[in-house]
Amino acid sequence: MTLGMGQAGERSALDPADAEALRRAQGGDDAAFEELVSRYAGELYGLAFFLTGQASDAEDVVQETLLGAYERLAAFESRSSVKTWLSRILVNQAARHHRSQRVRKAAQPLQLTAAAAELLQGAVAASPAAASEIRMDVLDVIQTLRPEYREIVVLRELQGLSYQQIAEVLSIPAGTVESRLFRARQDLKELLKDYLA
Amino acid sequence: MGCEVCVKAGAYLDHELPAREREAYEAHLSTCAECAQELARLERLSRFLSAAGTPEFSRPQLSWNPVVKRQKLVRFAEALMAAAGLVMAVCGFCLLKSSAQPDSATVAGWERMALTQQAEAPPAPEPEDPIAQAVLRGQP
Repeated sequence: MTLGMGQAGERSALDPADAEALRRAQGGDDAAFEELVSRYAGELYGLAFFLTGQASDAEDVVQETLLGAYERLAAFESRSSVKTWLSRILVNQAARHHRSQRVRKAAQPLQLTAAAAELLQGAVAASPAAASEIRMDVLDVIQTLRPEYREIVVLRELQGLSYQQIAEVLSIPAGTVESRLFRARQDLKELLKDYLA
Repeated sequence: MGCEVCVKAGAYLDHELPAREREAYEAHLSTCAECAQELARLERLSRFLSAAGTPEFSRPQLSWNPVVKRQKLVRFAEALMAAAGLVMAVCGFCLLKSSAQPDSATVAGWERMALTQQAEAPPAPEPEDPIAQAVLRGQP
């Protein structure tokens, strides 16, 4: 589950198909904008789902993200990829949503399903049937993290963004990405210590 | 975490270490059980997290149309409010102008008639009482 962005050259190179759709969208073609955002709607939803922890909230956040993108379309200068741009808007929308909800799950205790526990204890792969159970376990674990750690873990571990891309999405220096990710992983290890031992 | 090199495990796992650092880390890894254990933990953690996969996007129709409708509605409401503001401004201006300079045309008909009759009315007859006549003439 990766966004599939190149790790280099993003600053100078938009995906050619994105660039064409973007050009038409910026010229006022609504259908081109629809085409552009439809390519990433599923991935944006995945990002929103793990950041908010709720399917309905994720839909709201995606909706707000697309609205925000439409409003900022003229100001987008293609310095990052369309995916990074949309992800940045979404992360901001999710943070706003989270502030309005003010809900954070308790850090302890965590009871994982057997399939998730096996993965953490070293099993090579989980059965496809267990995927949805594991997803809910991951969701529970991620929701216990501080918001800034949750963002960075989701962007790296679930979305597969490079440190440079994460830095662009979160508007932080690349060096901060590494240190914040380190601390987030320390928290995760502590949270899951019974399973990772 | 006693070994200082262990902090590099995450960046190594993420393929974010420069080539020289990566080689140094790998060389260190073969001699440090703590780093090897840390890396193994992070690998399992990463495998667990990435196994979450992509949740099914159940509402693909959500992607655009409602946004366009809302955007257009907002624009329509903004235009409506601007028009209403303009009308109110024009009305306010006219009201101010009319109150500053009263127009004779706006004087009610009955008032105009009363004023005309008053102007055309014959002077009041002098009183017959000589004392009253003296008072009116200002004589002592």
